[in-house]
Amino acid sequence: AALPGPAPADWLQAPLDPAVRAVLVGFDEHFSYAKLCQALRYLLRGGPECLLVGTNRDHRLPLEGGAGIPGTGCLVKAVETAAQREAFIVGKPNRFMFDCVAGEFQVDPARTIMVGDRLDTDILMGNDCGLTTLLTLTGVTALDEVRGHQDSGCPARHSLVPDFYVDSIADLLPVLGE
Amino acid sequence: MASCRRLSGAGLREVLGPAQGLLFDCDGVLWAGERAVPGAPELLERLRRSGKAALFVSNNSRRSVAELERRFSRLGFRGVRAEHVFSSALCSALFLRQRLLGGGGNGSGAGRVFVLGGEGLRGEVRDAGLRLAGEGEPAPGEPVRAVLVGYDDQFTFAKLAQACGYLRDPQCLLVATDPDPWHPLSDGQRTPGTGSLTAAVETASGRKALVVGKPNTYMFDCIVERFGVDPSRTLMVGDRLETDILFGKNCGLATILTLTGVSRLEEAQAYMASDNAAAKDLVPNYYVDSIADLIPGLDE
Repeated sequence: AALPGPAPADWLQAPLDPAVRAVLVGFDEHFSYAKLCQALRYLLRGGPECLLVGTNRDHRLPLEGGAGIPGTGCLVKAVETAAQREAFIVGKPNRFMFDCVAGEFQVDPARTIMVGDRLDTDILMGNDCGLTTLLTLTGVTALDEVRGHQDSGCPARHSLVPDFYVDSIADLLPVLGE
Repeated sequence: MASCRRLSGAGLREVLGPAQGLLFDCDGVLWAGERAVPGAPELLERLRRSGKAALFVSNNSRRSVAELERRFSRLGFRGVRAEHVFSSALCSALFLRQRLLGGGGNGSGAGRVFVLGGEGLRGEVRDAGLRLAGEGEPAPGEPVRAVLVGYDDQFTFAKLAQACGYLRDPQCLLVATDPDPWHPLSDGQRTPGTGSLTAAVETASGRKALVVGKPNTYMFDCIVERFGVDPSRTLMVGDRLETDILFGKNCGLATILTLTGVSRLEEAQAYMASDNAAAKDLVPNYYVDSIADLIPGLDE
């Protein structure tokens, strides 16, 4: 519903929809303080009965030439900070999406490869779900980042290390039959 | 560790007697919304007559100190001048002036500041001799040397993206006026604070902001520089444990929690009972129901 007026004093008087039982934060290029305000109102009204869900925590969406735009993770963090609560994140590395896929398609993790460019989402989910993990270097991750995790003494960081890597997924073509 | 004792009777005189001055937070201490806390204007008047200093330190980055001076007057507080008021807006501007201009000199070559905030904050930055980057402007010309995140009720994704563009330069500072996650309103609702916007900018840029406001001590440095306050003879009075009381602890001030604002007595007691060492720093030395309760501790 449209907000009445341009200032917080107006927004805070707008009636709340009594049917709302969840706040869902996704990628929103029209994110604004006004929306953040409304999200906070619903979360305070509902308490734990109102769900706070985020689609993913990605910090950044890379564009050509090394530029990028803020990712959904930033908006999730804004809502979590204002509400002083943690969101349930549906996206990778949470296994929820893999469970959806596996349920729908009878996927056998032992015979499935997860291909991704991001260690803390793609590779971590793949490792946590028992998939073979393959990192491609055409995206956000550079190889020395992987080495850093590998050489660290930290088990949590070892979960970010893929089983294999390729420079590009095109490198898989030669091993596939005609 | 502080013991969170109620301040009254003889104890009140023992604590207030030797004090040379008091630092007050504003929202939830002196006023709530447009209403002065009953007895608060009289307390300030009595402090003045007792020869004790009253200075004000607020994390609210919406208003310039000139606007705050008018607000004090409008709500019935006499004799408070802009020079007595240290807001996070003013202190952020002073901080940026120090870092970008070296504390003096003119603006040329210092670079511009991209401000996420309202006109009160923008005005303080200009008054400090700094130039602001325009919104939606491309990058050429004088580089942007700092992004300043304050309370911004016109915050948008586009401004967040613009801020991140500037922050790709590692020489560009990321500064936040205060860490407050939300602010209470008189009807019990809450409005998101600078802390929530800063979290978005930090996440997008991968940088940690330098936070000017309480509980960090920079605002106290500003106070000492202007007025030469002795921490051992100064009391900090506030309503928010995580900012005001921790600020007092960090600056070496004895602290008084007033219950007319954000924090409840049970929260202070929970921190006192906690095993967490950091929690102990959030426990006030004393508490009162309202700052009006301090009046009997002053000479007639």
